[in-house]
Amino acid sequence: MFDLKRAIQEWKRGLRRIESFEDGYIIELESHLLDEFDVQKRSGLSDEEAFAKAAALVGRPESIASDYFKTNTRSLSGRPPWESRRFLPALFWNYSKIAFRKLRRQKVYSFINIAGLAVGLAFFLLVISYVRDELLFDRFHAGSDRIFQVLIKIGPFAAGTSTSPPMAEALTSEFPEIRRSVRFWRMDHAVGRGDKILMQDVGYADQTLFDVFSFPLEKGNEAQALNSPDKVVLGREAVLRFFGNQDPLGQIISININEKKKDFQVSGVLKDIPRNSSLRFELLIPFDNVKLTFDMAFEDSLVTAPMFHATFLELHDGREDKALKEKFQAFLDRHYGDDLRKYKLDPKDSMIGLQKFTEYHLGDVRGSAALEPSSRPANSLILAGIALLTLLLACFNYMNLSIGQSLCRIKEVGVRKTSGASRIHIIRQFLTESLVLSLLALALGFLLAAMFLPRFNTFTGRSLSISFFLQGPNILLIVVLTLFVSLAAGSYPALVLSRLNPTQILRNKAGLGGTNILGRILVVFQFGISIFFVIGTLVMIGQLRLIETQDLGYDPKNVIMVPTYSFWFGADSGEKTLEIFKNELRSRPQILSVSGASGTLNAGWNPSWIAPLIKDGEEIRISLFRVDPDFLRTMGIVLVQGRNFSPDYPTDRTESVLVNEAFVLRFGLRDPVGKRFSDFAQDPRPPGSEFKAVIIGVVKDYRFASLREEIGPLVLSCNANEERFLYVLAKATPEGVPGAISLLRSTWAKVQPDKPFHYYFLEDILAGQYERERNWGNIVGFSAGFAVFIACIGLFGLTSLTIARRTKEIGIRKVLGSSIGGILALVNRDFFISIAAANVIAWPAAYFVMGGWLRNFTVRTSLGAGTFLLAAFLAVAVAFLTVSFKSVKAALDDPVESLRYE
Amino acid sequence: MISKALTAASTKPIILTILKEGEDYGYNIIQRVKDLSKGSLEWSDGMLYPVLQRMEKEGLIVSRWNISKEGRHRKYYKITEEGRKELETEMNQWGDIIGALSKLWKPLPTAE
Repeated sequence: MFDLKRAIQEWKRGLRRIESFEDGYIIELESHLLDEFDVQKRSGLSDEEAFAKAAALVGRPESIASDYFKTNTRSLSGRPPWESRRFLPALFWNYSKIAFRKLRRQKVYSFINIAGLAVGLAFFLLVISYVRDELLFDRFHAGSDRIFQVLIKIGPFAAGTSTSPPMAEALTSEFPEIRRSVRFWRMDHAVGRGDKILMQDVGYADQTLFDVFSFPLEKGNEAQALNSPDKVVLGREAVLRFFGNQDPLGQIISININEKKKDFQVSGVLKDIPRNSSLRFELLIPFDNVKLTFDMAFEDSLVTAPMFHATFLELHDGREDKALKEKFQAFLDRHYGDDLRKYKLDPKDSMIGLQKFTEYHLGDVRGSAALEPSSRPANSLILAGIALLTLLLACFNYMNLSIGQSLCRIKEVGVRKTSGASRIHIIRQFLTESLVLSLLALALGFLLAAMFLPRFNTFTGRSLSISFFLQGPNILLIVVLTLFVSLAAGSYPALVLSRLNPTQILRNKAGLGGTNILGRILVVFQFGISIFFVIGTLVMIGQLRLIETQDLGYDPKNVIMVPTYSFWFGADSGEKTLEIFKNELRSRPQILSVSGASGTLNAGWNPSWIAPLIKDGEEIRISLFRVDPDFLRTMGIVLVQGRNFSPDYPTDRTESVLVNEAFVLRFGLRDPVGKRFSDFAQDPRPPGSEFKAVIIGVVKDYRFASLREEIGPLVLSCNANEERFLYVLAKATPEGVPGAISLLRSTWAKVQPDKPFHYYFLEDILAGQYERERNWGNIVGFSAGFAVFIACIGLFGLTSLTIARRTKEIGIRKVLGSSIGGILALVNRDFFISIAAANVIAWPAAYFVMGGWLRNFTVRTSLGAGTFLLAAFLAVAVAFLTVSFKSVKAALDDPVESLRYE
Repeated sequence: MISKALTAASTKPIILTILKEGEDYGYNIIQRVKDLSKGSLEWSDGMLYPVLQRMEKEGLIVSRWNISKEGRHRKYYKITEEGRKELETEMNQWGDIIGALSKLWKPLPTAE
């Protein structure tokens, strides 16, 4: 039976629970309710229905109270205390508070947990910044979508970006699709002002460079910066070097082009070129100056002019479609067809095409001397892979520890549930805690990344800045990732623990199974990744050691190289320079011998001129070096057959050559000395420029290129027409090195007073060429260290939890007479099973990946069982130490103590 | 249905206008509003009271307690001098708005 009075009392009690209802308000609302009740009653409803209707019409007490609160409060938001904050779940602050208390109470765990994740995030942050930098290469030009680079492929040779000077004009006049063209080339020149002379990287470019690309000037007018042949634009560094703080505009600076000084007037100062630019230069002069450099007018046709520089095209609509491709092919046929057919080449094998300039950096077209070398996309991929693995590792660890820890919090869940928390509350609590921890880790990660940035930059040869982390997409990715990690780590305990029945928990009847399967699986993964990295590091160390101790076939010790800057054209200054050096240094006790060569020995690439020879229809590529008769002695290269070059034979300067053993083998020569090249091979080059060579001797194979390459066929020639001396090589006595350097310097001052003096030690150059391998070794080694550290932390956490859960069991076993060894075996057994499983995963992966890496080298260390066993042993040893740290203590503890526990 | 913002903006002038005609209590004010707006102004009844409370704090109205013939406590509200001034300002403002809107909307066909 409905009791109106009681219903009203009940309704009023509801109002009184909310603090902003004062008595007056309640009386007023009650009278309203009663008035409404009367009205409803009159329309024929029962008491109960009328009351319900009236109460509904009055409205929700919370909303009314909230409005009263807003009327009376002075707080800005007007939010009453019983309402939750917008955007945040109710009790958020309470959960955060508890999370922080937990942090304080369990300092070690929290530190391990947060630090691990932070390091993972920091590494990941660095790497995605690097990868993003790679992807954004050359995209800073305003019209980068419309800029293309001309590619040429002639006959069987690989496609390249080197074009001839008339090409740009020919293309723009024949293709309406092309809006503008820019020719660009660069070369080192001796640049001087007053008595200051420095080698500088001088760019040659058309005036249109400033229209097509975004290279803004800090001073000067872009529209006229390169419009007459004697103008020069300087980079900021060059200004600083030659003018200090003076205003350089209108000043004169001289550039030594082709052994002649030419004066240029400074017409502009360039703003700094962004570091992710493939186009770089320190000075910029008008393109027409290449005529001086080459001493050529380039008036001959498109086809016969030398191809050496890059040509860029700006298209109207920025698309290279099929129709345009066909038009390019027709262009090729029109201009090159006859010549190609003359050399028996099919025009269909040749191609003129376009490549988007933004695709150059990560693309596979290489070898343009005008541009910065392109990058290997594989590097980004490998680095990203490593970063992802370490991050995964950190996340696993984080999850593992969080899960393990939460198992100790069953009681807390029980108490919370008894005090009225619903399942949703528990889930929210765990997720909030996890979120707070991972946000802390994120903040720490940013800090660590900023700290390690300088080292990372030296690793990768980049100059990333901290602001790079803070760019939109990076931040977004990292934040999403952190949220994901916190969700993943928090969801397991949240979902599992919240399901438990509080009465059972509090009566100690609910527990989670003794085997923490998920935790074990995670440990297997952690150790798997660690072992993988350890094997990688061991293999890399082994390979580097092998390379460094490899017999090169010559003796690089105390060989000093002096670049002659005579390059490959112009007056024969290299020749004269070498002549003077030899005369000056002949009788000096510090110097054993002096020689000249057209290339450094191995600077990580093969610096020789590559010439093709055809044998049985197959093209064989030959490396050709220009040397002088003292080369073998200076370098300690062994002659195995025939004789060395000698001034006594005039033909040595024209047609005699030395070849290496690989050459003899490749051409299958039985008795090489005295053979002419034309006896066993054809030269595909046009008549007049082919090899007219007679073999006078054979040298033992030596490493003239990097160890990544096989030793190929090599020709050493004394012929002045083939190549020029780019280096003077001087072999010093071990104790005479400093004296030798000052002798070289004073001689240089006599020979080349208007060029700067530089010298290198051959050994340094050799060491430098494996810089990349060494850097990779460092990165992998660092990752290995990190992985092992994380895995140990994970294991440590897991052990402590296992032991905490098994305290009583251990106590009982001890009381019943179990030995310390027995207890240790009991606790450690499971972990060793995990580590064995980790090896099973890691070995094949490491074998596969490192085998692939080693294939980059022709001299390889073996992927022997020793490496794998050593890695496994290290893993087991480290795991043993970690586990024992806790388990020994548990085994030694007094059983009375442990039985009293709880 | 009239939007929340418009409802909130029009509450004050409506209440002041009703009270200008004479002293009244909450329940009656609500009923008058409902009648006037033919239900298109949606108020939950209880929401009126905090508004009255605020207007009283602002000095636009004053209240006194009374006991009805049914023996219920009722709070009667009366407009003050300041309330009248406020109403005048409101009326001017609303008049401007209505004038502007009706000029703008003249070319449109009327609802009939």
